Order: sequence, then structure tokens, then C-alpha cells
Amino acid sequence: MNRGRRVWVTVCAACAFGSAEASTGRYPGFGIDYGTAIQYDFASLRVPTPGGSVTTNGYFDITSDLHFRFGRNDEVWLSTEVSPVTTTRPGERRWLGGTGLTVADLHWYHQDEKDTWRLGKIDIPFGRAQSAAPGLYTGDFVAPYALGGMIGGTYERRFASDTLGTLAPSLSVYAADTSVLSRAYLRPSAQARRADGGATNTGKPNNVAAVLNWRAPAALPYMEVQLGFMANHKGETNAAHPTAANERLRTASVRYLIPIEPTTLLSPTLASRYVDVVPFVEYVRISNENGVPGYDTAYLTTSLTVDTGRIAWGLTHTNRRISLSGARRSNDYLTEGSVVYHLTGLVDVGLSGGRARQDGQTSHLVGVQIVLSGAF
Amino acid sequence: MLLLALTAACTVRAAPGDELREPRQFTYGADGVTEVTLVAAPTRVRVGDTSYTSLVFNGDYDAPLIRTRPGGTIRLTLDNRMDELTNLHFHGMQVSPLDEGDSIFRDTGPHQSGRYVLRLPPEHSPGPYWYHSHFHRGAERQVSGGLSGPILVDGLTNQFPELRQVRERVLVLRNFQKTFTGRLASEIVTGSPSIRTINGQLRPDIAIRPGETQLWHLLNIAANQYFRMHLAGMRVQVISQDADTVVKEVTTDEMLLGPSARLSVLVTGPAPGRYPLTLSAANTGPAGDTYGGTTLATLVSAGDAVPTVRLSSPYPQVPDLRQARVAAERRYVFQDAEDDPNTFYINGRRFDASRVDTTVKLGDVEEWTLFNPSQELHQFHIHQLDFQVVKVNGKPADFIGYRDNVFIPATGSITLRIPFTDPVILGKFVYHCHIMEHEDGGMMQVIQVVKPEDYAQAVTLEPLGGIYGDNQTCAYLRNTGKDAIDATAPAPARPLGGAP
Repeated sequence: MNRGRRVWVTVCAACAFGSAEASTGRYPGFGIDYGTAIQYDFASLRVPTPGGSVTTNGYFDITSDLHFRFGRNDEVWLSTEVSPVTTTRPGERRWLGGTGLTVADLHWYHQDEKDTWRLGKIDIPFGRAQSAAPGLYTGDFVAPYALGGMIGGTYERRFASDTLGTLAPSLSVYAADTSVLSRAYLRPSAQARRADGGATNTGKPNNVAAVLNWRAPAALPYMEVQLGFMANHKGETNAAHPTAANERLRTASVRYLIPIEPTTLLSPTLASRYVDVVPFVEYVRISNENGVPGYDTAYLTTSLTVDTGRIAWGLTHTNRRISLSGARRSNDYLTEGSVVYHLTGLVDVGLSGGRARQDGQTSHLVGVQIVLSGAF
Repeated sequence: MLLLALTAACTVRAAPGDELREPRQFTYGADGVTEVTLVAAPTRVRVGDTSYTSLVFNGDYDAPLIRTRPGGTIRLTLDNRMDELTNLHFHGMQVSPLDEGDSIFRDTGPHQSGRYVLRLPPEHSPGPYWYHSHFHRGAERQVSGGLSGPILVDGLTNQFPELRQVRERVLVLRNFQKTFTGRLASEIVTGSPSIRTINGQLRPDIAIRPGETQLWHLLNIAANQYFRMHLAGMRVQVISQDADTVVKEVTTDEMLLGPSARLSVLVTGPAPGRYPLTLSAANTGPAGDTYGGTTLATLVSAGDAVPTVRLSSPYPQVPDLRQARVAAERRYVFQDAEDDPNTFYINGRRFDASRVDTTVKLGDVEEWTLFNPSQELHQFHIHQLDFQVVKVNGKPADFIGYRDNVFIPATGSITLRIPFTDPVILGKFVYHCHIMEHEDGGMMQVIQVVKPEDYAQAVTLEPLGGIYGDNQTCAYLRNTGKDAIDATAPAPARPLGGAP
């Protein structure tokens, strides 16, 4: 039995395990939380060819998060994504093409009173733009430093004081996933290999991220700060990747919640008249991005979210400055506006539209997303 | 078991539009003792107009009312016929947490019995309270299923004798998550489609005569839901909130009951007609829950007009704690975990029953400021005690009386003054968010109240569970609080805890 099949058999066996009432009387027993995001995207890219052809790509992006609860403190988290796993060709007009299923996360999650650890295929808790900035596309744009799907572990411990608030330092060690979990399913695909190169692709947990999350100090109770450092070893060199260098990343971000005070009282809150404004700024500097020598980048994400009752309005701009040795500096960017409507307690509907410039090409994006959540 | 089955089978069920029924009740005799047996068991019951197999007391989704009086005693047997642990908390009651008292640190195992003896002080505040499962990590599901019920402490009409002639109603509000399986959900999902009932009934009629005054005790004994209610635009007069009588006249056209809150109001019969009691849709913040609205009941005014009863007695007064000397100021931050939707913290910590987080000296009045940097409401509650809200978002709050639970604004704060002055509270108990999803997720901490001379030792013992151990008197030798009571209480001194 190969490793992938073993995983699925284990998951299926767990699903059949039983009901919430454990014979010891200790609740919870086995259970599942789920969250599913169904997103339809349409991207239009004008290719700089003599004919000025346009590439379009319409596709669904379905992410599912399953949390299998085994006890008070232990869970297995599984996140999957169904989305295109192949890229479009210049000038191609694609409709629901290239779709495959990937395993984004599969890890053991343990939570104690003051500390948390994860072990398995994990997201590295470095950078917040993916989750804190509004919109459907910023997450992909900042993916080069918001590392997901690494094999390794994360440990976090929380400290609190009346004046300083909550301080939560964490340490992660990891390597790029070259296991069977790195391939796409439902579509012929290759498993990642060491020979693919790239930072973190070392085959051993010798890459490290140290992050400090600081929340709710007494003087600024609605402030969230993150400071982080990440050091990733270079991958293999070969004919395809003749050079490589270690990657270094530093991040600092601030998010602040500014409530419109009269709307935070009980009656206006319940009546969906609550309003707050949430600015967010994140700066990330990367040396030798993805292990490419001399390829230095700096990301600056600024966003503003306005929550008005059941609707959240968002505007996000991310600038990516590229400094390549011996070449002129250039800038990529993504700007997107978004709106999310909390339709019911279990269903959110989101709409996002934006414009991006990457590698000298400009694209327009529009997407709609439905998020469903619940539990068994 | 046969008796339970018969009870369930024989219970007459009401359809929408039927008259609101009174809950069945256990009441007290001349000696002031209420003997209660609660059988917790999985049972096929009617929830509104639908059948579900759920976890309920005494074979009925509409749990029995426990009636008592100030100075009375409740002797309760919890017969756990479930395959899971459970326990009981007597919400809002100012009784001892020691021994067989109101301690959430005691669980009753599957197919075992637990014993509770609650002795109410003679000055115990009258009004509506409630009992419910407080079994950590299972409380949300058990309460949502039905393991909660109302308590009424008589005596409000002693404060307002003119109310002796008015009809008193108990309106128990709850919601039940719908499932496709016909069984209680294994994991309660806040905001999911649910059945909202009053006394277990779906949209009952509440009869009143034009001009008639009725005293309604509204109890939110749901696990998570906020109830925002309107009675066809009519104003009602608030008599008490959380069984604490208000200190001045308060009227409102919007009845807001957070999870665990109670409200006693005077309702006056309008002109003949039908008037809906509506539950408005509610949203608890950008990161919170969304609940749909519905009609809970219909007030049916009919018959001959009768004179309206108006309050003429003075409102009972309690000390305004804004004038009290504050012995200590504390700060608590109620936070959602950033990357785990099922985890919630107070000051960065999840609940640990084996640790004490806060130690307080008996006799002190403390000021607590509760911050909520989350984008959703939290609902603070502390056991054994009432408190006064002195500020909301840093601004002075009007004083209308004490309470035992209060919302913490999303991205806001609330400041309380808490009198740790009644010796009956000596012992170990908890404070927490009463949105039970959050409580089960860890938003709860342990507090011990000790005699001043024991303070230093008690603080030293915090990491080991505090000076009271498991809240049994023998765990802390003779620290029953009796000495303190003897020194402060009127004779005869109140006995504590489990003495039969």
C-alpha cells in the first residue's frame, strides 16, 4: 500500500469510528468540523505579442478544511484544494481546465493551556497578509513568503501580562514537501523532487522560522503586531538550477481594530449596525527569494477593511519590489477591492475584483466565492 | 426507565397557537426544602413540532421548574443515565461552592448519581435563575440538547406587594439545532438553523386581558444565542435583570437577553387583538454568528378590560459600588484564537481546571476591566456573585442594579465592580464567557475567594489548584468560611455546603 493510499484509508477509518458519545463519558469523542470555499475566478491576461492576444481562465477553486477531533486537546487537520494545477498557455481561452486536487495540510494539532504545536504537513505561521488582508487574490500574490504545505512542526507558547498583553513566540522547522502528498490527484501529475531545487527543498528540517505575535497590550488593546525571521536553506543545484543561495526573510506587520464606539453596544451590534475600520500594513523583505541568488524582493501590503454589520468591504494593495543583481529594479503589484456578505450563520458570499501586474504582464481578475462551514 | 418512557409518552404536546403552558415544577414545603430528582437521559422528545432524540431531564425537552425561596434549601439528586459525564451549575445563585454545593469541579459519571444541597441565604435575591450542565467541553452540546432548566426564587412580591394579585409567568427561551438525523447534533454549530421555543412550545399564544398586568420571567437558557425581542412595539417595565431587582424605574420596547440572562418585566394587556412577540435577526459581529429572526409567541388580548396594576412600593436599594473603596484592579482580555475557530482565551490562556488564575480576599470590592479585541461579542459571567457595571467602553454606565452576566462589546471593553463580600462564596469557582461554544473552547478561568489571613498561602498554591483543592471542605482542613460567617452574618449563622 503506498503512502497516499494509507493516508486515505486512515482518514476513512477515522470517519467510521463512531459517534460523539465516548464510552468513558469523556466528550468530545470523534467529530469533524468542515469549511468549504467554492470560488469561481475569471482571469484575463493581455499577452505582449504582436497580435496582442488575450488569455482567459475560468475555474472553480474549492478548498475544504476538515478538523477531526479526537479529544480535548488533539485533532488532525486536513485541508484540500480542488483548483487548476496546470497553467494556461499564452492566448489560451480555458474553461474549467487543468483541475486537480492537492493536499494543502495534513497534520496533528495539539493545544494545551499555554502552548500549541503542529506536526505534519503544515503552513508556516510567517506573514499575515494571506489571512488578514481582505480579498480573494492577495493570498496567492504573497505566497512566495507565506509558505504552505511544508513538512515539519511548529511550536508556539503564549505569555500574558497586564501591561504587555499577550506575547506568543513560535518556532517552526520544516522542509519542502517531496512526499506523495506533494502531487496532484484527479489529474496526471508528478511528485515534487529534490532536483526541482528552490529554497526549503532540502529533504531535512533545516529551515527555520521564528515569529513573535503580540496582541492587546494595555495601552493599545486592539493592536496586533507580528515580527518574524525566516531562514531557508538553498536546494540542490543541477543543470536546470545551476546556482542557488540561502533565502532570508524578515517581516513586520501591524493590524489595528478601530471600532465606531456607539455601534459596539449590544443593541446596534445585534441589529447589524456594528461598524469598525481595520487598517493593516505588512512589510516583508526577502534576500534570494526562492533560493535564486541575487533575487531580492520586498513586499508591502496595505489594506483597509470596513465592517458594516453583515457586510465587510475591503481594499488591498500589495507592491512587490524586485532587485535583481545587475538588472534594473522593477515593481509588481496587485490591487483588489472586495465585499463579503454574511448571508447566514453558515454561509458567506464574497466578491472580489482586481488588477495585477507581474513579470511585465497586466491581468484583470474577478471572482466570486461562497464559503460554507459546519460540523458533524 | 419504564416510568420515564410513560412520562414522555403521556406528556401532552402543544402545537403552534396553543396556549402557553406552565412548566412542571418541584416546589418547597413548609420547611422551605425543595426535593428534586433530575434524570438526565437520551430520550425521544418533541422539540417544538419535531421529534428528536436528545439529552433531557425527566423525559421532557421542557425541563422542570425548581421553585424555592430565600432561606430555603434545594436538595437535588442528579441521576445520570447517559453514556457521558455531566454536572450541574446553579446559575446566578449566591450559594456555597463547597462540598455538595454549587461546584462545577464535580462531575457525575455515566450511570451514576450526583448530589447537590444548596442553602439559600435569607437575603438571597428573588427572581429567575437556572440550572444547567457545566461539564467542560460538553456543556454547549448538553445545554443545547436540553440539559438546562429554570429556577424561580419566590419573594419578588414581598418587595412589591402590589404584584401579589398579578399573574406570574415563566417563559423559558431556548434554541435547538436542527439535524437531518433526528438526533441531537454531535457538535453544535452556532448560527445553524434551529428551533426556537418558549417552554418547549413553538409559537404559543399568551393570553391576557386588556389592561391586565402580568409579571413575565424571561430566561435565556440557550447555549449560545442572543435573544433580541420586541412585543409589537409595546413598552414593558423592567422589574429585575438576572434576578437582581432594579433600583429605579426602567421601561423598554426591546428585550435583550444575552446567553444566560434573565429579565423580569411587567406586561400590560393592550386593546383586544393579537400581538406578535418577535425574535429579531441578530448578528454578533464580523467574526461572530448570524441568527435568523422568527415569531416566538403571540400575545392574545381578549375579554373584559381590567384595572392595570402599577408599582407603588419603593424600589429596594443596594449599595452603589461606584462609591466603594476598590481593593484591587484587574484586567482580563477575552480573545479568539487567530488560527483555530474552536479555541478561545482569557489573557492568552485556555481553561485549566487544575490551576487557579485569580485569588481574591473575602471582603474586598474589586474593579475588573474586560477587554474584547475580538470582532465578536463575548458574554461575561461569574459564578456565585453579582456585580455592577460601571463603565462601557470607558464611559460611565447608568446604575439600575446588579447583574450576573453582561456582554463585552466586540472591540470594546466593560468595567465592573465586584463585591467579594458575602462569606457564603468562600471557595473556588469560575468566571467565563457564557457563549458556551467559547466556554467549551477554553474561555474560562478559576478564581478562589479566601479569608484575608490565607491570601498569601492561597496565591502560592494557585499553580496546584489553589487552597481549596477540589472544593471539598476536607481539602482545606476547616476552611469552610464558618468563622467568617459567624463574624459577619446575623444569628443564627448560615451553615454551608453539604450538611444535610
